[in-house]
Amino acid sequence: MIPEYYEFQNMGKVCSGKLALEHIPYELSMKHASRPLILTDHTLEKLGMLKLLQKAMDGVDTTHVFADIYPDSSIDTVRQAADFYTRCGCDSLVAMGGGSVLDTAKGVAMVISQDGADIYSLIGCEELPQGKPVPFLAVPTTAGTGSEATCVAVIAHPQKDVKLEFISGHIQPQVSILDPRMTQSLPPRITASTAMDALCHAIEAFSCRQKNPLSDAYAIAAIRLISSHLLTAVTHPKDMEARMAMANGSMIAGAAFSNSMVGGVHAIGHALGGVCHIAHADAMAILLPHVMSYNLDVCTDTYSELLLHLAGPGAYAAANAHERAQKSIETIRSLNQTLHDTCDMPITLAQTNRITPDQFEAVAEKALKDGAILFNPKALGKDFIIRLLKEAY
Amino acid sequence: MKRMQSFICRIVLAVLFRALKFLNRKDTRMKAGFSAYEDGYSFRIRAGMESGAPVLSFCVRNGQLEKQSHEVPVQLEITMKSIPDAFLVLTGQLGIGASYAGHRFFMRGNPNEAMGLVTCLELAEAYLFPRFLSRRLMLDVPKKEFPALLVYAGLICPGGLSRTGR
Repeated sequence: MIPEYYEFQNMGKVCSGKLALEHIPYELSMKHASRPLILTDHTLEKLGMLKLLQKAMDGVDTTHVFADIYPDSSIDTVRQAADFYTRCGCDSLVAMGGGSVLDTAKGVAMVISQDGADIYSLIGCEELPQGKPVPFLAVPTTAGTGSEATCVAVIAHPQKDVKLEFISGHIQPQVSILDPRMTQSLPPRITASTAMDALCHAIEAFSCRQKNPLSDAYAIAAIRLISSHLLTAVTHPKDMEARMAMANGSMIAGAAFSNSMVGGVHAIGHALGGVCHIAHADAMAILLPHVMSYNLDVCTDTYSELLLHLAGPGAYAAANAHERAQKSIETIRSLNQTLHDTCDMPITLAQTNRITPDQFEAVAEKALKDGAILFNPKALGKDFIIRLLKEAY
Repeated sequence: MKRMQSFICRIVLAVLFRALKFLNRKDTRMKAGFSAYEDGYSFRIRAGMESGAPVLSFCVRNGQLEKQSHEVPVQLEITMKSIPDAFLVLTGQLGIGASYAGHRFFMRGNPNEAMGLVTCLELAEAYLFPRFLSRRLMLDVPKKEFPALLVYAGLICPGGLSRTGR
């Protein structure tokens, strides 16, 4: 079904596969850049990933590194990094890391492109005009957030204790570098939960209110890649094909949900993060089957088709037409159970040890204030959210 | 055509503010929605990007809604991308959620803080529009705490109704 009106944007170039890192100097030179600011975090520095990146960027000045980036990137960090960029006379950004590093880099790109404007003044949704071009390359080191392909950055304001959301087509990295060396050392537990995060992006993108033919194409490609390689990536971490499939799946899912948005799983997941500090990826994995069950009556056709992409043509053909939607949900439950058995990924809220039932009300209240709830295909009221939380507990 | 749409949008925005103000006094959910914003928090709704497009600016002051100058900077500003887009939304042809989903407006301010306003606007729509229209605009139409007729009466003579103490 084609919506009455939709928009789709995905302007980034993708360099994916063996020796992708070594293409960074070429990509920078094509953008007339030679003095990048490398953004990363100290953990990746300790793991030797920064050295690997610098070695791969042969012939480029890689001396300017900003690694003081911590989980839940803040506007103070963005300001410091932007100042450092200006002081060092950098002309481009290379961000290597997970969601926090990439979101910080998006913030820095915004500030630099808007001639040093204060980051807080740039907050908004589709409001930022195009500024000075800042070459911006993203090197993701997890396969989950898809931040390298999204037009969204979430940056904390610690003084106000709020998360600021920046939504603009101009903050998407121009080049995504997907190199298998970046994710091969991820432990199975992290591989599993981040992959479920990516799968959740794709499934919500495929079923939410803002879905459109282009986001569907991306979501389906992501669902196929992730569902067919996830278990291999968890059980055989050095399997390069599986790692690349996960990296691609995550990036493609990012492009899908950046355009179609997400739904109830994310609204409740964000609230669980805010109230109980449950890791985002864990919340996604736990909530996904429950929210799908809730949405089932309005998403029967979508979830029926989902089975084909999730479980393959054999499983799709073997299931009766009226059972396919339910089978999709069962496939997710079964995948969660396998990941729980394999690497102890939590599949109930109780297993996270971070929430008690008396917090459900606060979580539900917060979820109702999350913008993602607008895009869920079925209205989610407070009572239903509490019921979902009880089921997921 | 556009001038007519602009004129209608101007009227609807004026009616909408009166409804929001009235409901903020009478409807517990509306009151809770606006009281979640800090005192002085201000909003602006622009029905189009053109200069001279209809605008509504207001703020929360001591629990009440007050109109304010269109020149003063606000914390949350929603701008419809065109007058025809605004016309669709303000005349009940397109829901607020659907207009967000369909990129019909852009926003200055923290999108995370917009949901409270969206909920209040949907609540006002539920009172102002007939049920068959509201059901087309929203996935779940909020229940009315009192008859819509009271709101219409409140729009015509806000002072008179407030004396009833309701």
